[in-house]
Amino acid sequence: MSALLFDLLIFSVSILAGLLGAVVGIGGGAVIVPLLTLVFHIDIRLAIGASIISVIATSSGAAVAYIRERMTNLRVGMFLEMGTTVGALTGALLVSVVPDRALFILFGIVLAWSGISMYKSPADAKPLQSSKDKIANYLKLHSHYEDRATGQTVTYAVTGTKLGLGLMYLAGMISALLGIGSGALKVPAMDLAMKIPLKASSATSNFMIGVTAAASAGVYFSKGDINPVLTAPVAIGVLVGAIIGSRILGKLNAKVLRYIFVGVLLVISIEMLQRGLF
Amino acid sequence: MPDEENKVVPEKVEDSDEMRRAEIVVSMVLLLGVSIAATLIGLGIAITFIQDHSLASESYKKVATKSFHFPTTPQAIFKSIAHGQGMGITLLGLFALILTPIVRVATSLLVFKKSHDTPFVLITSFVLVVLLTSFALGRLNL
Repeated sequence: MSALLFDLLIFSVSILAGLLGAVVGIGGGAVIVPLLTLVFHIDIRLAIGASIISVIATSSGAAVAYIRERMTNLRVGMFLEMGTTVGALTGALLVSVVPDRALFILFGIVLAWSGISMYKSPADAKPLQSSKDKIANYLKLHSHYEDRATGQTVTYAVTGTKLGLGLMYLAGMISALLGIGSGALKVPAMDLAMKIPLKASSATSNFMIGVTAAASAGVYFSKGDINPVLTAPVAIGVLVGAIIGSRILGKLNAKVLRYIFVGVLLVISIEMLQRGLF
Repeated sequence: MPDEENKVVPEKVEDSDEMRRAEIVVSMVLLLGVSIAATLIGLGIAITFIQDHSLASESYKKVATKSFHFPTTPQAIFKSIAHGQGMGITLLGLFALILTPIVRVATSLLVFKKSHDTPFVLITSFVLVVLLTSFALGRLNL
């Protein structure tokens, strides 16, 4: 296959990945990296480099809409970015000593986890109304948002800041190692440990993944792992897909799509594990 | 016991002028950054294929490998652009994309500084230092 044809093909598939990703709430990287490595036999490090760039594009592209809708908790996001960026830096430095096989295995595990947590999709518990967390009170992390489904204003208090920050360090590291947004790790951390409502958690996670990706992208870029011929169609394709996806989000039957996507994730997860183990 | 540490939430922080300003500035930076980057990347890759027919018809397996060479330092990228090469424009676009979140952090730091929110000035400064360190470490090729 010629490079031009390859780029056009990757561009089209990336649009689809970005679209699916936006609709089910997971970054395009979860699909792009396995596709490039398993189907096209591209070096996993180049696939991760291309994917990390697409994470920055989708995060920045979607954040604008979320911020306008006031779903993003900017203060929580900026606070937790201390954890994700240091984690990402650690991951980017570790990636050169981690063998390819380990990357495949880790990818498989993270995908399986993402699939399972998407399937379970936790029910929104009643938000906390007061908090004893000193850091959260001092930094005024508590917030509120307008729930468009019910038309009500949801006010919530934030707790578990230390645990949240620690979990973000891990999420940032995995993000950098695998070139994915790892929203599947960040959202439960905010939702379960910090008691931030799911919708605000998702929007805030999306806000953070751009900065997290940027912290490792600098290292990947200098190493020459961001191959322009491979990265350009992936980055633009995923961005276009994510924009279309976020527009049609309300019109789709997200539940059916979600189950299909869970199935796809589990299949890819097994493929990646197999590649790493055998 | 209704002490200071057990405050009831609705302080409506997000409605403060400071957070309003932060929201607007952050949105603008992100939108501008992504638009510029996507335009440069799209144009750059199109020009690359138009200029270099041998690259366009080369097997992708030879292009999408570690041994495929392209500029990775700012100096080399600007040299490539000065020669009118699409590859340089593509890389500038990718670089702009990586820079977008960093500029976002830097501008929110300024917003917090303007409203004398010291804790958040420190938090955003810390994140900015980590981001700049990652670039410095990348250049050292560790």
